[in-house]
Amino acid sequence: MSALTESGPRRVDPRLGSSWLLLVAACALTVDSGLLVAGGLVFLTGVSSLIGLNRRLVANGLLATAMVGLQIFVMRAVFAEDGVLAVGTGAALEAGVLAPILSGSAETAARLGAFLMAAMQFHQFTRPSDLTELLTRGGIPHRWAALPAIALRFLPLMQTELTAVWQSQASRGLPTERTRDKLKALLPVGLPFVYRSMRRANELALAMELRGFGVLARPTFLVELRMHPAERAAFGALLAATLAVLLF
Amino acid sequence: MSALVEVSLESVTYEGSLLPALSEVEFSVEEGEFVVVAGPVGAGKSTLCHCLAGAIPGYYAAAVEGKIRVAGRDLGGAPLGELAGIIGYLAQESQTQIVEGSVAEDVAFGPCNLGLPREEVRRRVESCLEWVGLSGFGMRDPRTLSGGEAQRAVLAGVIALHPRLLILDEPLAELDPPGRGSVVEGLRELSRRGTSVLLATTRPDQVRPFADRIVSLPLASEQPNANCSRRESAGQVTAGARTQTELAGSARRPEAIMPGGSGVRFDRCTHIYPGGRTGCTDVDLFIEPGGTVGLLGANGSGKTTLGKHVNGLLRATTGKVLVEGLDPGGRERGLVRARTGFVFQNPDYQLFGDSVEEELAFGLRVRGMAREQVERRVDQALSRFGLEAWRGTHPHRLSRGQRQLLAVAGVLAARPSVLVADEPTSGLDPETALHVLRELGSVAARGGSVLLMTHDVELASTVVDRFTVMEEGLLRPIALPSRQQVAG
Repeated sequence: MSALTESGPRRVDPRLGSSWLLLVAACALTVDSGLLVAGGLVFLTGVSSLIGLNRRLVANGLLATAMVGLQIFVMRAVFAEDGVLAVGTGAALEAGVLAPILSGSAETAARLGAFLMAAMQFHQFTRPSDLTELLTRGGIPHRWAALPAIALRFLPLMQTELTAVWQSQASRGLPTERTRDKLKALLPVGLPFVYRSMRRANELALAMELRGFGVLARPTFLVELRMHPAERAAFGALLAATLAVLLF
Repeated sequence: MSALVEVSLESVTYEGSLLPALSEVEFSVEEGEFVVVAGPVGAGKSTLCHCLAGAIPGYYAAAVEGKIRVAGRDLGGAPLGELAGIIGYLAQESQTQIVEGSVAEDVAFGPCNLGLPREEVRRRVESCLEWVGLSGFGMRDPRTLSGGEAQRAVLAGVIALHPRLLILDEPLAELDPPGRGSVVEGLRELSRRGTSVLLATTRPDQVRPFADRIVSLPLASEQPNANCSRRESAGQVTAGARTQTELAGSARRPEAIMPGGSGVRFDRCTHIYPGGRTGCTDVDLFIEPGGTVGLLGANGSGKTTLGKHVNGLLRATTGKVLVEGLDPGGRERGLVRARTGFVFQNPDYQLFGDSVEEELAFGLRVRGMAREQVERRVDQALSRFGLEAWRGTHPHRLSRGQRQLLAVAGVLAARPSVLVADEPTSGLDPETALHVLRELGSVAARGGSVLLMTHDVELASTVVDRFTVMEEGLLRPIALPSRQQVAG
């Protein structure tokens, strides 16, 4: 029986996870110092590595953060500080103008990155069914409460599907080595992927319906959602910290 | 016994299709009866299963002429959720039916939805996982399961509902022989306890000893016009079908062996996945030019992992793989892929053309063939695989078995000199499966090397030179009849 109920390292109560996410969001939105924000991102990245988050996932998260920062930088450089188009006047090329734009863009990206890192930690350690149970207990109808959990499960599945389609087409001789090849491969990879996604969504919905999904407003859950004393204490501490950050 | 299921269908025609997928079907299933619905690829078995589960017309748009009653209820328009506990349905593709993030939670999904007490749910989960041979798999992420393991996990989830009628569409297609035997015996036991079982398959000989009755569905084009009830007693499988042994004995190699490349060599090949799971360990294997090696092994033993090294989809963690003298994991990967064909277990990952014809032409065009040559090869492939009638049809309008045929045809049209085929005959009837195997064997006949991963030992022995078996990532030789012995 224990094999079905053991919590394992991947299980954190969703209330505790949510409070952690809330604290990071509050910090990312309210902390003024750019250095502190950057330090927070470094800290969260370190925590992600320590708790065993997939390194590739963390690297991709940081890459996405950097891309967003670059986009913000380009947009702000193009429009300059006061919203006037800087391109053509040469103002954007002056170091005196670019430096604050660069630091401001980096700071915004770091705020987003910190939240993204916390969201990945939440995703990693929250069991989708726990999230559904929490929402159902909160009075949300089961059909709706299950949606975030389904989405959480569907994303990695789609990643697996995309890899499988990519491998399949590559093995048929589709060139995928160079960047140009990869761009050309978007259609032969994208179409089966979209088809598979739609088919998978449809068949998943059918499988759920046939197994009684949505018949009862309050179904049973295999594992009872229960906070341990230590989790309660951590939950309280995180909420208090969030409140302090928002108030002071 | 009273009839739990009454089927009286005149026709079922999918939206956008001119021809019915199913016509003139009439039979009933009693309480506790084990009925097998047998028929070749494209006969409409999946359509019938969809109808019986209430998925047609609710989920799949189709015009249904006729009636189906289950447990006294007319299925036309019945809410599917209300049928849970009455009907349990295992559709053909198992991976798409996994709902939850762990095997145990997935098995528990149905009983939880019915509001059963937690202790009862746990009891059912444990007993059903044990029943399908997946004890100890409860906490596994379903994405890490092999095809056969996933099929058994979904079956456990369906049985956990304790349905009165169990509908199973090709439940044995991806299972290894021991798994197949235990599942069929388990189904027989369920029917003895009062559950009606309706099992659709292209291979009735695998379940014949356990079935009470076999209902045969011929191809739609061969179906009788009207008023013909197609009931059949056990042991009288139609289709004029010969048994697998008879078919295997009739097989002959299509062409003489010609000199070719330098074969495929695995040299102490080990693959460890990120996360530490071992795919294969110290594999030494040589497939000579003109040779066909049959790779057997239980579900999840590492066969697919090994096959993916041949065209560089996976790189050996230690050891090396050489394909006609080239390293598929290095800079020569493009060259290796140009001469290697890979038939995947799931054909849907590679079908994207607007028509069957387009689909066949794709693999040839990306290899830079001239238009005339492409047209000629496409015509040949259509003819060799009996797909002419579907030339202009969208691939996803074909049945699962027909899509499988198309995927094989697409790979062979490029005439690869090295071929890896991962369960190319799953879900195919014996005649079609043998035809596919002989076509795959033609690669070796031209001097190429073939690695065939299969559970179809008897049929495969008609084209395979020697068998080898994988057990938990390790390769072991095995003494099974090969092509020469079968021919002799």
